Amino acid sequence: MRKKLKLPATLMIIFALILVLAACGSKNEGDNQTAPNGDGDKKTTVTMGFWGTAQDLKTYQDAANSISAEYPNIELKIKQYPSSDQFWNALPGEIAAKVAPDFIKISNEGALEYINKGLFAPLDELVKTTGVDMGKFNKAASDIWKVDGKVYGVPNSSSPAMFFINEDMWKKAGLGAYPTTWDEVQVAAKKLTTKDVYGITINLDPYHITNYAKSFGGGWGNGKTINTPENVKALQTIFDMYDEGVAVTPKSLGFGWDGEVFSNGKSAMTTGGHWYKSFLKDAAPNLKYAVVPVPKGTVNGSTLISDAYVVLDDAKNKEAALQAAYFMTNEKVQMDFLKLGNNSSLTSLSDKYFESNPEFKAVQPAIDYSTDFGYPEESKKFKDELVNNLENNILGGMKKSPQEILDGIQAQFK
Amino acid sequence: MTTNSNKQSRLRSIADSDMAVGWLFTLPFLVLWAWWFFYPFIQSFIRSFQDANFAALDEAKFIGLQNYITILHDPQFYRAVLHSLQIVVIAVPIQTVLGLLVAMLVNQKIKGKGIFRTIFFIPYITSQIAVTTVFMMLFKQGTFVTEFFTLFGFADTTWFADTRYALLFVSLLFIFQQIGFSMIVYLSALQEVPKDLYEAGQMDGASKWAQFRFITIPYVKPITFFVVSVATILGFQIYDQIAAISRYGALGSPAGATSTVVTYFYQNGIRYMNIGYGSAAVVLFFFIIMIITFLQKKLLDEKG
Repeated sequence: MRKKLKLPATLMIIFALILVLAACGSKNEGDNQTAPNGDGDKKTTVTMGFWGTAQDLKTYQDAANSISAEYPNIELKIKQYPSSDQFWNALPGEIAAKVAPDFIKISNEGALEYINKGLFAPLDELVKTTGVDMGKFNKAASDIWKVDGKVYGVPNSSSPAMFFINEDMWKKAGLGAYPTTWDEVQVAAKKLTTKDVYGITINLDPYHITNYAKSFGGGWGNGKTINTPENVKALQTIFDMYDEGVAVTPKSLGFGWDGEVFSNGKSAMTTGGHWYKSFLKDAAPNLKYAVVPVPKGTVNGSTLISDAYVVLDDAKNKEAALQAAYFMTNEKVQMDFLKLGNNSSLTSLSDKYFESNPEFKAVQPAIDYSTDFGYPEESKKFKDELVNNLENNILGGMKKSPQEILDGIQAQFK
Repeated sequence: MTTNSNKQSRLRSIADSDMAVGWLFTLPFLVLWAWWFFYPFIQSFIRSFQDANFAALDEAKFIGLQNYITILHDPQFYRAVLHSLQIVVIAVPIQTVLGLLVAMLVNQKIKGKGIFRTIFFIPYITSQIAVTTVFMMLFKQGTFVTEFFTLFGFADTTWFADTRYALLFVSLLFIFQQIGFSMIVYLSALQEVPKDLYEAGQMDGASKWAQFRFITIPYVKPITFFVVSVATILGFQIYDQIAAISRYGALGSPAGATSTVVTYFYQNGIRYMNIGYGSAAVVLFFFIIMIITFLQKKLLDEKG
């Protein structure tokens, strides 16, 4: 009996060893690989990571399939993340495990923290060795991706925040011209609020809150101006609309984000951005909407959201990664994105954006006054603090004043 | 020559012994356990004394007990511990009792009991995110579920967006999913209870309750310890459900009402990339679970 057990026991040990070796051996998965191509040259595999819509994925996939025409030695793989939050949550772990993509498309909302922690490669030297032309991008977009005089991103698009209005609801309520100030929004929101519909969605998310702040002449000043009177006024405006019962958070209705509330006809107005176009095309193709600049509090102000391709400092072949990133900014790919509502950073396409996206024409003046988010360096911590404090008031019934909330946050980000 | 032959025979007898075979069979598990659990825990323990950025581990600096001192002065940590304890205190007793009751029910000679067993077990093997998503649809303001709960004094609101109910919502989710596991474990224990004990009890005039109290419960006691321990550990480790309801927002949303020790670790260690600080939270968490499990065992032993 004992001898009979020897064989299975030996097999079990071998099995265990194989598993352990397999676990050790998989460490390099996801790294750049080089393999001979048809011509006998070595081909470098580069992976790009992004979050976005299904339409974005299709555009990227098409671009990846055609990259060999310009860069025959690069094979490009696309990795899509389900949401920006999942992207930002997964990235540190992937970097630590050495399985992160070689370059990623990100927005300026969370980039600074990563740049300051040295996770993204400065591109200045790489630009020289690869010969990519960084002069083809407009200055505003390029400047956003310069930190301490170094370039960290290949600009992809930049556009101002927008304010979306459900046209049918607006007309049905007998309202006239679209609002240009938050006071007008508040009046309209009261008229638009019914048993099933809220006048406005105010997503308790830093992107949206920052737009309210900027429209009152405020902003976070990279952590230095969190509790200014301008930001207090902005928060008070938000709280007033909740107190009047005309505003709703997506979460209260069981939705994930503001676009879902708007597309489901549960609110008549919301702050948003250019991504609404491709989202609404799929989610609510029959919904008629108008787009205007973020209403004024005391001044014209809103955020400029800019996407860029950044090369990770851990990328095995940074030159190939930069070349692949640069390929994504060719006119063909940029035109495809332009049709989806992205305002290309290419100077050569700047006139075509509003031609191809006439629904965004009203926000053209906002390009001139829209600015970066200005979050503190520890942007994720700041955003969590801001959201938690606002949720405490709106969803938790706390009655802290805007000044108390902002003073509390300011104390943590001196 | 004689010495060599003695050595060989001693080696052979070791190799042939049950002990050696037993170790050989457990070796695969031990190797994997050491690789996947023990080694990471030692790593976490070492990191807990460092100021370490998750994405630049090479630059970690030894800072002694500073991480522990900071955590123990952080009110958010105590809030997270309290929430974890609340989930465990609410969910573990309920899922244990319900698991036993359901196991007794499906252990009866009833038609279609196989189907019932499957129905109760399905939530346990279903993706936690999928179950959470369905629950989120059910517990939205204005649905028949939230309206039903108004009969018990609850407000008709979206439970996971309301700071009053969000933690209860997470506890309900946990109970719903965990019952299937408890049921299966109890079912296997119930089938081991000798039938003649019940027959003897019936002959002595013992009521159903007395049979349950004096036969069933003592027999399933070791299993109860197992079920309670596993559920306690899983209750402390709950994460997926909270991540699902916090999507598009800060982890532990709304307003930190569902923050737990695990989300506290994740937020600090992974999201803010301060892996040294996060590791210190994990080490503290390990000792909290260990102490609670030890107390549970002692309590059950004393009661028995």
